[in-house]
Amino acid sequence: MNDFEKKSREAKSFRAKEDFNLLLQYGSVAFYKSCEVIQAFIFNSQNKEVINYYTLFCFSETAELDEKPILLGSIKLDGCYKIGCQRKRVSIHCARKCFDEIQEGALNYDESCLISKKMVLLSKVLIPQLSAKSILLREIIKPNYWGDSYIVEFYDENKDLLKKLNLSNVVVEKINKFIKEKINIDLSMPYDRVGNIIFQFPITVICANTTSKKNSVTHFFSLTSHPLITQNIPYFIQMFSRFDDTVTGFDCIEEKGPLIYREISPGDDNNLNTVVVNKDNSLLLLNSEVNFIKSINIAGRIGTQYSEPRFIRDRFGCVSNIELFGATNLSSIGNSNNDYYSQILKRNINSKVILQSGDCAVFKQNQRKKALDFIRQKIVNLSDIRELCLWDPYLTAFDIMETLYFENTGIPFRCITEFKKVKEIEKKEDELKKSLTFEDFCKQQQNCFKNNSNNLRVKMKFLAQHDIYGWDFHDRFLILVPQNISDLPIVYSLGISVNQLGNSHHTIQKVPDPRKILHNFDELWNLLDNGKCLVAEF
Amino acid sequence: MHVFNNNDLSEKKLSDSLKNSFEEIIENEENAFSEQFFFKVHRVLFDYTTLSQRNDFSIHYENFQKITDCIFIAKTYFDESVEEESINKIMTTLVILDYFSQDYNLLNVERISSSFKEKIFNLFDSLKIEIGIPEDAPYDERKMIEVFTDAKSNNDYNKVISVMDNLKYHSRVFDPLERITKVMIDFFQFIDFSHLKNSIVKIKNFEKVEIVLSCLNIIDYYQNFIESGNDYLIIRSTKYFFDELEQQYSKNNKITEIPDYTRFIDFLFSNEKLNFTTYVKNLRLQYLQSYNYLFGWNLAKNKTLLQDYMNHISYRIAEATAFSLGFINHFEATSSSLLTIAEIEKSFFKNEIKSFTNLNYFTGFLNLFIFYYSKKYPNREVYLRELNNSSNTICSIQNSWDFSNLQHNWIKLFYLSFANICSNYSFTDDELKENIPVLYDNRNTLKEDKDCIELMKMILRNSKQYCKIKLWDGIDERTIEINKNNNIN
Repeated sequence: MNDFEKKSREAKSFRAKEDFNLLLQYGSVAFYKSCEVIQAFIFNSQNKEVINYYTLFCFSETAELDEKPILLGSIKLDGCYKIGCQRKRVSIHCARKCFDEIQEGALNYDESCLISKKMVLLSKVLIPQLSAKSILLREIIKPNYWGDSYIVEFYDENKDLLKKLNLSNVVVEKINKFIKEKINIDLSMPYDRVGNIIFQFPITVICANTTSKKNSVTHFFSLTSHPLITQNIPYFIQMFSRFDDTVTGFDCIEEKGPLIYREISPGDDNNLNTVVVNKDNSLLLLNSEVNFIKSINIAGRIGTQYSEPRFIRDRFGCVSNIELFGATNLSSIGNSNNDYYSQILKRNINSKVILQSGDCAVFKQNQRKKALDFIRQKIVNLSDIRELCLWDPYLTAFDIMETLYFENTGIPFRCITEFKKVKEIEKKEDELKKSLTFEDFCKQQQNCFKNNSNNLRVKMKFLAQHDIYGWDFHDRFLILVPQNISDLPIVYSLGISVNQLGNSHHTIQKVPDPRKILHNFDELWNLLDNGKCLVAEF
Repeated sequence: MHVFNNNDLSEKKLSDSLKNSFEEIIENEENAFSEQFFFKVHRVLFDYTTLSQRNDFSIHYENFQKITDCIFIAKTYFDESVEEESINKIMTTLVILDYFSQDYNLLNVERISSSFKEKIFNLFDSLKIEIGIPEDAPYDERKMIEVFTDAKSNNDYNKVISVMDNLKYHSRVFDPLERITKVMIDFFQFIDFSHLKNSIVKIKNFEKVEIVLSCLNIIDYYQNFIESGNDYLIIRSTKYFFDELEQQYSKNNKITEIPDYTRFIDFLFSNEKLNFTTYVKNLRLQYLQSYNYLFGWNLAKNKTLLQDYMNHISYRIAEATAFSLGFINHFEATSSSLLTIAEIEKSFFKNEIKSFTNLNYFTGFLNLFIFYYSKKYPNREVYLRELNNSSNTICSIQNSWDFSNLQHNWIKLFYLSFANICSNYSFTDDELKENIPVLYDNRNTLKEDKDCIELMKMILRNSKQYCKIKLWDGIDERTIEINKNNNIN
């Protein structure tokens, strides 16, 4: 550790102690009367050691105290270890004592508990209750009904005690699940917080609210105070909005409490951020980010009772019946068509999709049903989709029927296969089919469609690359083409041919540059769409 | 509409063509209980009079003469049918009289011999109605008939009912048959009501049950059906019975006092063999105010059928209001009556109140709950203690890890405060501040509805003689007027 880091830590630690005292002052952020200690611990049944897994000291305005901790549950882990969760309400004095002891490397609010000797004390952090993004730290503290919370945290930097236990990933997963179930603290995502001790200070002195004046420019701000607050505390209130990574609005006022009802006019309402500061002690009491619902889109489908289903018989003879519906959107409320706001918003959403698609699935052997279900799920209940495209060099009639035919509103399909490669599968299956001509193949595929489905409300064109037409291709894609060309297409890379989905290890994932793929598909389609490459059409 | 009597029908020379046309039908038509027969008679009548059926025809001299001719011939055929025991002739009579909306007082029905009566009834009993479709019918129709045939052979009444509803409400398939049956039934009712009732309770054919039920004044028959032991008839006629009650007693979405038919509710749900509870949903009875009103009345008497009600409870405003009215109007002060409301209250808070429900929540059960709380907390001290408990529960949830039950408790406090409209206690601000601090914590005015909190305080202070309150459930709203004399309107 260099000098700067060392000094910085000392300063932070010093600041944290000041913060702790300030936050605990009666009336600064709340009127605390007790502290609820929630702890997840690991118990070694051989040497009777108790090791801290995670501890939260949450200050509260409830006056009751517990004499003994309440054990919320425990389960056995590998070897001689157990994980347990307990809760105890202690006095403010006891919590303060613990805060001091932890700095010395001990935790004794009940029985002695081992904690890391190298805890780093971090200065206070405000965790907002309302924010546009999900905040992981919110998962490991107690929810505060009235607003935001401060935390002062002891960070277990070395995690030496837990490392010694040598817990496998499976056990860690089991522990986190157990803790979530017992005390509603989810350490599975903010796993870096394992071993830490957090002091939480829920802010209850104010409760604030922002409502829209329905003109996107001016908003109504309300602030009410804790019933124990009698003086007129001066507040600084700032409101600003952000959109498309720019600041689109700003306004601030100064006003005295305990009740404030004021109009504030930042000029915009996107990602509206409100900050409230107590001017007397410079404590930030609120930092909230909200958005207003401006339109609702409801998609509905109309079907007829006892209507004829589309039936599909797969290659193993199993029949599926697909109930068909109309594709009309029944209604939408306040949905503007394509104004400047929608255009910017769509681009933003699309960029986010590209950056963090999160839409992928890994399949191992013998997961054909699961893989097919994944694909089918992507193509049902669609709105604003103009057509579905399937691009696979080994694509046959059965593949199309087992996937695209599960779309139930009659969206048109376009499919491309490669005759040379399909012939290879046929060869493997039957040596006699070596001499299969393109015409034979088309006939065979058409019969397959006719014999294995009623093709009810199917609109499909199936082309094949062969001989001099088009070019050879390798990758396999499912493409969802949007109604509006300014929208981004949705493209999944299948990672394997449709006939092999879920049969061996592969990944289906959303493609980061979908327009390129669709453009490519269209390019090949235009070369093949000449009547000479048509396999089947409905 | 002119009602003809025997004076209008003196002996006259009839047009040969008219007589010949009827004779031809009577001689050639094999089945007088058929749609074909019915329409042939209609055709003759229309050609002769150029009047469409049931028109409020103006009695010009020429019309009058022609109509008189037809009714005279009807009377003649009746006389001949009685002598010859001819079904076709008597049916011709009935169709003609029906065409001109005439009743049967013109006919001397005393002359019908018992053997002829037997013959007519036998014909009605042997009448079988079966729905069929052509081979080239569309898929959905074929599928529906397939489902229906299957349901009939398995006695799956729920499926039978859904197909019947489909046919009745979404197609006109029963319309012509209903007309013929109505003519017959009206006549049978006129000549021998009890015989007709006995005939109907024996009907097993599902399609025939449907058509016959459409033609009856169900209120006159329902008691007989209930006692018949014919399960399908009981189940299906129940829908017709409550539909009829709904028409008669529900006006502008409000129910008026219904005669005491609670014995029918008792019968339907106590009959284990019938297992009626499994049909309520399919018959959509829970959405009828009359059904809810009678159930409320029934449960006010005793709580035996409470579970059956809870299985299909409707929280929609009109139905819940009807139930509350039925219950409160016939409330008998027993501990079991209060237990009944307690169960409903429990279910309401568990299933209907969502965490996002507005505090100003208008429900059909509002009156019932106010009534209940005023009985359950019978003196000032107990009532105030309950308000205090409710406030403490809210505080403790606000300090807890899980706020999901918070809204339940706010709405409970809201209704509990409303109970003071009945209880009529007066509390001082200091008392309220000490016992219900949540009403004086300004932070709650941002989290909940500020006006509602003020309203609760106002009702508990009981300082105003009269006030008007607007309640809403997010879609509908209702204004209630309160005055100090325990009245809510």
